[in-house]
Amino acid sequence: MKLKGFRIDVKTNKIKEIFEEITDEEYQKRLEEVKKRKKEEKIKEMIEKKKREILERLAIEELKKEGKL
Amino acid sequence: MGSYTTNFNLYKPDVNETGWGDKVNQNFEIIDDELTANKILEKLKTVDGSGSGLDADTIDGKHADELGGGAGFEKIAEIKVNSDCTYVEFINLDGNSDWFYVLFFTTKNPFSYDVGYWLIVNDDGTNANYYLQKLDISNGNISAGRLNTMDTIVAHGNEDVFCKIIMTKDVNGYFRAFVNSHQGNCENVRMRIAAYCYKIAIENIEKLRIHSSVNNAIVAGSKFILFKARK
Repeated sequence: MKLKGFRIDVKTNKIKEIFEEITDEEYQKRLEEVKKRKKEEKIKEMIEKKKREILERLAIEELKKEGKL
Repeated sequence: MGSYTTNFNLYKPDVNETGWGDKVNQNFEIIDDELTANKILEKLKTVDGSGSGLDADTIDGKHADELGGGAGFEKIAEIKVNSDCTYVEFINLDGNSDWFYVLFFTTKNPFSYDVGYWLIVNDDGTNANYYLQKLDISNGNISAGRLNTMDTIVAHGNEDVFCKIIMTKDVNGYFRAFVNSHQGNCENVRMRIAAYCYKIAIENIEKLRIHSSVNNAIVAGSKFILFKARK
């Protein structure tokens, strides 16, 4: 698989269109790694969101007990 | 019989010539006329300019290319991508001389799924060699994390990206970057602030690349501009 890129030489200011060759397997491997990282991040975000919801609920209960709400 | 000078046609009497009083007086008239301020100015204009050695081509003794060096960063490269691509790279950098770099870029994830944009230094595309400590702010919520990844930024489906990255090689020879990205449409705007490192000590910063995790995810119209800190 050919990956297209632009290369800028900062000394000459010349811009070239270039192609990098990688195997299809390598490309798929990269995609899978990105998916895996994304899944892990999603799980972390879900946990953080749940933590915030629980804390908010507890905070409201406490404020009600104190008669402030 | 005497002769005349080349430039102003002043009469030069012969050694034994007599009666040259009038002609010499004419010389003085010519010289007197040539020494007016306006005539001198016109003559200077013919030799003024870059490389002339006249102070007129400098400001406070500095030439144009020396001015502004102490005042800020100097642009060293820019590109507006004219067709979709997978990466944009800058080569022949000299981080040891330039000290710091600042890169601004805008792009857009053209796909409906997430795309990572990687900052790669000196051609090392090994994910495990990069670390990222990030704060992501979205919907008023902050999420922090430490990742062993090149995913400098992750753009959600069809998200616009606006990013600033400040880079250097630290005292111990490690590549470091501050990443600040601003993503998403107006109603869903979100932000990332991150510290990004490459874990292997380097001799110099010679190449920098922004590479998308999915083929052709740097769309036509994306803009990149790179500055260096020193002249």
